[in-house]
Amino acid sequence: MKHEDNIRQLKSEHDSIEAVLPWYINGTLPLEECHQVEKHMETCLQCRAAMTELQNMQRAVQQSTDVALVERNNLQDVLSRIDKASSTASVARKQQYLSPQKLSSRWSIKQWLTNKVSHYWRVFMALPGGWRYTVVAQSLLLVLAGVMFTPSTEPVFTTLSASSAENSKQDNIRMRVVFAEDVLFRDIRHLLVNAKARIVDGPTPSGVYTLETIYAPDEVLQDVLDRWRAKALVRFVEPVSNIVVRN
Amino acid sequence: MIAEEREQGMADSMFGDDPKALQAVAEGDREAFKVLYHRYYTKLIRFVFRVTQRTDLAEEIVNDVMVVVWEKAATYKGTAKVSTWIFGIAYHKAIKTLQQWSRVNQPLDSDALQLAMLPDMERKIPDAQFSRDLQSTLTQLPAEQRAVVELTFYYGYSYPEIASIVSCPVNTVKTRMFHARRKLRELLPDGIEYPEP
Ligand SMILES: [Zn+2]
Repeated sequence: MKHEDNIRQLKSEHDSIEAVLPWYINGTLPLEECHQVEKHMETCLQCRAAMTELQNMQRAVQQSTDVALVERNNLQDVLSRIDKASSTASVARKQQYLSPQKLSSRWSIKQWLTNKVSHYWRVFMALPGGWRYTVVAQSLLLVLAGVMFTPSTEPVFTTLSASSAENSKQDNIRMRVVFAEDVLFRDIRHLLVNAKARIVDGPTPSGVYTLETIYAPDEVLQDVLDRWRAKALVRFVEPVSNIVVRN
Repeated sequence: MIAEEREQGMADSMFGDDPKALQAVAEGDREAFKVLYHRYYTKLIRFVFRVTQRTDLAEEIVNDVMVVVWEKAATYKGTAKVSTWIFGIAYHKAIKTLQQWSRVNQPLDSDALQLAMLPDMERKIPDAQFSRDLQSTLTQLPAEQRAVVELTFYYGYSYPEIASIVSCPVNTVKTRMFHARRKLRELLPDGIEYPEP
């Protein structure tokens, strides 16, 4: 009788632990529950097998491809719909803070540098140990390269062309990109096609690609970089210092 | 368009966090709305597509979701995260639309996927085939189960958050995940184990 109770109790512990394993894997389980899971897994082969299974599921979900679908943008449609809605509701609009005068390139540089430092730090800290050393090494190289080859022309970080009048043509920017660790090449390819970018070098042994992409004459480099950083497949983006290829 | 994106960057830093942006949207701020739109559009499109498996419906559903966000921003109570609130709207719209079309579990257009692949590049990744099998098997799950799987493994939500998004008890979330796993095991000949290299 006592033995049966014991088994029943173990079974129910197993069931409740196994049920939360997916969230142990995705890192959202509260610490206390994590400890319970870890303790239970020391002795439960079934849960360990379930872990592998769920990790495979996670990988499959994360590798799924529908990049093409997400590149389209329906903002204008939605805006006209909400405009219709708000014209009847007479909602106050506050657009004054976005006057074009305030978007000076000076502001952009400052903002860019501030963002850049904190962004790199966050990216850096999010990298696994091995990556950090690679990044440190590469950053040192970049700094060195920057010191040695700083061109006498204006820095191109800001608005990538000062003379926008003559610019109906497009410019290319080169950047170094590290993709997420388990990304498939077909996803990278898909991304490149959609973003009108191409690989000009790499991957290096540490997985760094040099990409060249098009940006419009009045676009700020920071925006190009930020757009790339926002992509789920991309871990790390850094401009190749001052290289702007004009067509 | 490009200039607009630049403005977007400015506005984005102005409405740094979601609650601030949503608060501004509630007051009728169009720029704040654009920020939220850009912040969520891609995530939502993917989520809705993964839940519905309908490329033809995903965009329309997400547009509807964003219009609801605009209209109902003032009703957001702040008890859940903004993202949970928005994903909840998207989930319910997706399920409702599916029901209206009553064509649940339409298989994924595999031709479209094939187009995106290069055979020679694929070979470099040993588990590509297995991974693709698993992916296409995921598309055969019922939408409610698939949503739980996606919200867990792609969007990284906790199970209480998922319960809030799909409006059901936490135990139902766990049960849906459990059934999803069992179904995958049935559908894949070798189970959900990666083949030995
Ligand atoms: Zn167990």
